[in-house]
Order: sequence, then C-alpha cells, then structure tokens
Amino acid sequence: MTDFPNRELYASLVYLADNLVADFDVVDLLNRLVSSSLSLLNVSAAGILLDDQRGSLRVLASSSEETHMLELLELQGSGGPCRDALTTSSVIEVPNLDAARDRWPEFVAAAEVLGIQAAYAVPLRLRETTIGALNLLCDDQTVLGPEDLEIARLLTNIATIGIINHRLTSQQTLLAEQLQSALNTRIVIEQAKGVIAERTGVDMAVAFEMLRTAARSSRRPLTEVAAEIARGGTSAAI
Amino acid sequence: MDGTSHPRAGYQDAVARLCSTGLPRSAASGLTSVAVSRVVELRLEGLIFASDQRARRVDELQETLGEGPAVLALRVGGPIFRYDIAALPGLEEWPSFAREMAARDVGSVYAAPVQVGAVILGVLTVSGPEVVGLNAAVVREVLTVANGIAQILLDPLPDAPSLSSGAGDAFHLVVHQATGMVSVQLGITLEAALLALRAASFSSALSMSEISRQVVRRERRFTDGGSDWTPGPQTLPPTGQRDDNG
Repeated sequence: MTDFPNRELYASLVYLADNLVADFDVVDLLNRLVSSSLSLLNVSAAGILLDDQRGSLRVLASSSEETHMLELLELQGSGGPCRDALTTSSVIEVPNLDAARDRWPEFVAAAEVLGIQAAYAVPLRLRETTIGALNLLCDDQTVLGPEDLEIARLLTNIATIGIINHRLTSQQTLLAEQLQSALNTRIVIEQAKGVIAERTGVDMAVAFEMLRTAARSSRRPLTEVAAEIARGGTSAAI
Repeated sequence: MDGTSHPRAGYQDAVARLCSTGLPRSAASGLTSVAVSRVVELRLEGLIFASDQRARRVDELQETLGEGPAVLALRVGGPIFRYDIAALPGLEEWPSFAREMAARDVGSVYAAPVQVGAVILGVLTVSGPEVVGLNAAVVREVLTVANGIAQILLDPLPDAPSLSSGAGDAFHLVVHQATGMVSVQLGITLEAALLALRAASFSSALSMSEISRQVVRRERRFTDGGSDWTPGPQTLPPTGQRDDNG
C-alpha cells in the first residue's frame, strides 16, 4: 500500500470514515459527503435524496442550503434523474439536460433557472433495496467518466451506511424507522433554519451555517441543537 | 390565532374513515385494532379514534402508565416498528405496560407519530392479539395513513383528503422553513405556526408552499391580526434586513 493514486479521494475517505465511528450526526456527515463530492468529481452542486415511502423524494443533504436549490432537488420526486435512479436502481447519466426537456419538462426548466446543464443520479442501495440517490449537478455540459462514477458509487455506499447506522442506540431497528428518522431530522433542520432566519434576518444558507457553528462550538450534534432551536429554545449565540 | 385548538368539527369522522379504509394490509396481517391519539406538547391528550375495545385499552394504558411504543415514538420523534409484546426488549423497558398487555390479550403494538418534522400532532397505534411481524408493505401503509391523518388535522376544510393526494403540500421543505419563521413572528409553537400557515393558505386560496415561499422571501409576514402580504418582485431574494430582535 505505497501509492494511493488519488490523494484527495484518500483524504476524503479517511475523513468520512472517521466520522462514521462513535457518535455522529447524520445530516452533518452527509453534508460533508456532498461537499467532498464537489471537489472530487468537479461538479457544481450535489444533494442526497431519500425515498419517503409515500411517493415523494426528500432532501437529506445538499451542497447548497439555498431554498431554490433544495426545491430543485426535491422537484425530482415527480420526475427527474433521481426518480429514475430509484425506479431503475441504476446510474442515470444526463450530460446534456437540454436533450431531456421532453422527458422531465418541469425539472429541466427549474434546473435551467439555476444554470444547471448536466445531471447525474447514483442510487443509494442497501442490498436489494434502493433507498435514495446521490444527485450531481453541473453548470456546464459535463461528461463524468467511469472513474468518476466509481467514486460517486463509493460515496453513495458511505452515505447509505451513515443513514442506516445513525440511530445506533436502539437494538433491532427496522430500515423504515431509520429512514423516517433521518428524514425527520432534515425537517427539523429546515424549521430551525426558519427560526434563525427570522430572529437574525439572514437568508437560509447563512442560517444553516449559524446552526452548524452553534453545534460545533457547543460540541453537540447538529440535530439536537436544531431541535432545541426549532422548539423555541435559545441556543448559544442565536 | 390559537393554533393548538382542534382544527375543526368533523375531523374525527375523517380520521375514522381513513383508519377504517386505509389499513387493509395491516388488518390482514393481524393488526386489527387501530387508535389515533391527539398529542399536545409531546404528551398524549386523549383519543381521536379507536376501532375497538382493544385499541382503546392499548391507548389508555399508554397514557396512564407513560409507557409503550406510542410514548416512545413521541420521545424519539419517529415511528416505533420493532416491538411485539412477547419480545424481551419491550418487557424490560416497559414492565407494567407489557404485563397489562399480555393480560389483556394483546400480542403486538406498533406506533407511528402523526408528525411534520418537530411538530407532532398525534400518534397512530396499531395492535393485534397475536405476535405479528411487520413487512415493508404494512410499514408503508401505516406511514401513509399517519401522513393522511396529519393532513386532516391540519386541514380546515370539511372534506377529508384522499390518500392519492397523500404526498401532501404541507410536507414541502419550504413549508418547514416558513413554519420556523412564523413561529418567531407570532411567538407561538411550531404546531400553531403550521396551523397558521394552513389557515392563511385556506383563506387566500394559495397552496401552503406558495404561502411559504412568500414568507421565506419576506413578502408575507404574520401578525396577531392575520398575515400581511406585500407584493414584491417575483424573484426577490431574501432582503436580509430585519428587526434586531434576537
């Protein structure tokens, strides 16, 4: 084991693996993961979506906390690369979104507004079940090669482990419980972002940063701090 | 507005209808009893619906003893699908509840909160006489019905939402952001803020996500007298200038 061909990938994997040990916060972990995917794969935005078991896709993590981007990700529940990745359980590659206008008119139009021109979706798989997808978006027409997609698949595997294991406290927990709990975590974070945005006058992206800073400086899980703020508690400096 | 009051008369019928028609797989698997409790500030606050005597007993016992899957579902803020009464983890964790259930011919109890994120409006509990394991289809069914109940409890309209519209406009993420903002604007709980958004949606004939987008863009602000809408440029980003309360 002398030469690891991709130092940055190696560093990211070690970092993410370290985060999987002991007590970790699922949203925090997945946010780090989508950030890593930006630099590793040279894409402009990335998100992780989960099947909510009720016919919709829900955002679990996004490289941008801006409302428009979150909504673009979620829009794919009614048609888009992520929906297809879920139903087919395979990687969906759209290097030129223009060509997919007829297939997903709503998604392509919304992507265009944000300057997105290429999209990829890699399924999150747990044995025979597909639980969600990693969405990669590019602001140029972009072809991701087999090596890139291999890295993307590696990242989705880490994401899946994170989602499945984040509630280790309970004995034999069912997959459905884990997924619901991960989804709720994200909702609580959106509610907390709203509380912070209203109290301090910042936008949603800044509100998320403030939330993250508050969690780090108090050395508490992001989710716990978010729940406290969402329920009206005043947490450090917010 | 007082958002914590019951949303409207007739909602109990809608919940009863949904529970009676929406859980066929669950019933076929042996989970024949269904109960829905109202939750206020993370406490069980009485039944909205009980399909039979068993459902009523299971619910009453959990409320009285402060033990059981519905109580745990409130504590963890998510569904509890892993307990059958005969299984040891349940017995250890809830000694009185497990004893009472076994004595009353209850083999399985599962619970799913009726919730929108941190807002928990109720708990759906399904139970049956035998020890029954859950499969994915039953889990999906229970979660879908819990979702439908959330919509009914949020809905000031007299007609019940159909299950096919179950994706639920109330569950869009922009609604969660707006809920947080409105809770600060009015100084109320998230539950009340969510109901305030729902009421504004009803009276303005805009969807909850449209109302919420206006709130997030700071074009609409909720005050004690209702909500004020300031028409602004269509794609105005958040202005960033706000009162300095904090």
